[in-house]
Amino acid sequence: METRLTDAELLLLGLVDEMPRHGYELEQLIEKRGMREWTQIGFSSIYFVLGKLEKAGFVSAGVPAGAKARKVFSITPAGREILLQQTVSALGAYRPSSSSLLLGMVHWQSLTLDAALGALEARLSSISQEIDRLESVRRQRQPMPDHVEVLFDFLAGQLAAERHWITTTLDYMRSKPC
Amino acid sequence: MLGDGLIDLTKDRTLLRTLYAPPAGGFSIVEVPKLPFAVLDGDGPPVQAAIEPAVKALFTAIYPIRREARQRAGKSFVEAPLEILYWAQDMRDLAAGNREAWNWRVQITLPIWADADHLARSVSDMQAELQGAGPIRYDVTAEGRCVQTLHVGPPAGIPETLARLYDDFLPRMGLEPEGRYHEVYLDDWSRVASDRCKIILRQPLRSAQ
Repeated sequence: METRLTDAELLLLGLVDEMPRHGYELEQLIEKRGMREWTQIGFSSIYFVLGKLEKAGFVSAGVPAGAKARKVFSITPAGREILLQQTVSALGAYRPSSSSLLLGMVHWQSLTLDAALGALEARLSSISQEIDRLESVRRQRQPMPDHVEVLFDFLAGQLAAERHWITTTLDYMRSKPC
Repeated sequence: MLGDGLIDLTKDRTLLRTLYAPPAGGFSIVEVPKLPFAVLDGDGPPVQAAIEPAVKALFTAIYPIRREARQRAGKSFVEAPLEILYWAQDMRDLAAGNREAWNWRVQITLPIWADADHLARSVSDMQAELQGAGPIRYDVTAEGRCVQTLHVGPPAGIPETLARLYDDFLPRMGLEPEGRYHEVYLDDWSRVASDRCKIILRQPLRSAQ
């Protein structure tokens, strides 16, 4: 059966592929690179996931040098193979994500026009805040490699598209004859 | 005048490769032209705890310029690498690896349209993110005739290469070091294992006196 890694497994495997790392270092890196914002991975689950990857033969743990030394995890050839495979599929396969917007718009007519417009205006304001937050994260996290910069371009582009859609829709709904 | 007398490395790809993508193994002599830089002078010995924040501050300071460069250049945008110059009052301290006596400077090449005013605007735009950072300034330097090589692997292997350069290659060629020893870091050490890290080692030269 084909192995499918969870998002947390794929994330840790990729970080260990950059260079051998220990659990605490991975924890710090996930924090520093802001990966906690988009992955469900807690500090305790890092060790749990590393243990799973080790059991599956995708990472190997070096024997600590002293009693207090930390276990260093390295990727194995099998781990590297699955990392490449699943990264290709993560990039290549479109995974639809549903937005609360779908349900909200479907039930538009259950609201009064004022309540519906008010809710969409609130969404516009949170989108604008998110655009500002993303820009501030981007400024604070310099330097970022090019492939991460373009990822921020992608996120900013999505938010800008949503903002444009909301303003157009607000205009349209406001002017629609009742 | 904007970019006065400066060569646009993004247009001269041969020179760009010569300066920033030399082959590994062996020393080559290159002529390094006048180039514009954003620079930040180091404070105290070059220890990791001092270099890391300086590097971050420099990249942060040029972020608006880098962003504009990406927009202007589109597909032909080239990411400029981090460079560090090292020097000592007594050059023997440099050769002997007495790092406490070393001075250092972090620098990144700028696009030729980014002049001193442009950099000052960029720094002022990023002021909130640059709290506590040392002064970042614009500098144009021409290293002239240099010897360089590409080092691949952990920095611990660099002294051996430098010993071959200073004790064997340069005397044989009738050359002497003149000016600041220079390293160009082609990889981000927080993302690439040190045994795969590429570093250009460069030394400006003069003919032996």
